[in-house]
Amino acid sequence: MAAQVANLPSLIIGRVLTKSNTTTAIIRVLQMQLDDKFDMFFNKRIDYKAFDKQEKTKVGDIVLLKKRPTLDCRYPLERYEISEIVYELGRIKDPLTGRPCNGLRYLDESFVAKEREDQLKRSAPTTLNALPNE
Amino acid sequence: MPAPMFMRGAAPWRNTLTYLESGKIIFRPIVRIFTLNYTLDKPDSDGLRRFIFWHLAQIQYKNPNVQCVQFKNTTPTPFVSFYLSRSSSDDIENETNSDNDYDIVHMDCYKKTSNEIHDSIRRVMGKSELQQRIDLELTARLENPANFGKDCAHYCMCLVYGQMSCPGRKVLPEHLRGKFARYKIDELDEMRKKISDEEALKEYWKRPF
Repeated sequence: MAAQVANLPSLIIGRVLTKSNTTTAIIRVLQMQLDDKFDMFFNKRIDYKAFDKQEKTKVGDIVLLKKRPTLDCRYPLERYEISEIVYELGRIKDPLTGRPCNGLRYLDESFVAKEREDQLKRSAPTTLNALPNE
Repeated sequence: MPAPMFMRGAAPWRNTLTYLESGKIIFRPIVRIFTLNYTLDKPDSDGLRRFIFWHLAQIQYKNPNVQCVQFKNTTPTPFVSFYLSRSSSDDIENETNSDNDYDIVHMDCYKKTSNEIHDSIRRVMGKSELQQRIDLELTARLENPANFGKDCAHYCMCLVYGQMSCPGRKVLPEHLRGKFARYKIDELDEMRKKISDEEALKEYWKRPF
């Protein structure tokens, strides 16, 4: 629970870890930190406590946190509030097309029809254009 | 000769400071979060995968205040999104918090090459070359420890270890003062008979004021 006191960014994306009451949630946030010796970036996990006005989030949602003005916070741990659910657990919606998706496939299309299409494509492959090598 | 200790892995020159500093994308101060959604196996997101392999470290190095998050295998199509916020700096006393809505900008990366993605991000969300040069000039005075004066690290040369003190506070030895060197040369010669120049300097350094 090492919160950075100096510069708290005002918008953060994280995943809900636990919910102690229906209103407060602990959110795990990944930030990339430069390792001195390797000069590579590694993900650093920081847990923030956030206040959840509309009690919609479940454990495992991916959530957008917004910073609250300091006048509302009673404790230094309640700096953030949940403003929007980006990806809800189990009901991920692709923001470009708006269709519900589950990992590698859209849930609108039926699974069986897609499999038949892929089988057909595999048996009679279309001629590939000669792409220049990148 | 064994390989150098840390130059291991695929394309290890990505992990050098010179490569990281030569990143070309610097985000505008509006951008707060940079989200990358891609799949690991499909050939559609090949361009985005290469972009991440080569350029993400550069972006994160140049923009330490932007959170770069990767979502793997969440949606079938690859895309990149930016979360923008109106408040420019992280003010502690942010009174108009409810009005500050954020905007989300999505950018499609389906079957795009990494160069195309890089160029379009740079054009849309990156600072232009002119702006980068302006910023460099504004911060160069402060960053360079050799500069001194107003807006710099130290305002007077006397603050640096090893330099002469301000002559207003500590009187210089006579052979370095214009009053004696130009007008009162005879008195200078008399004083030089008593103490030589080097010893006068040594006494100057010993004096507290």
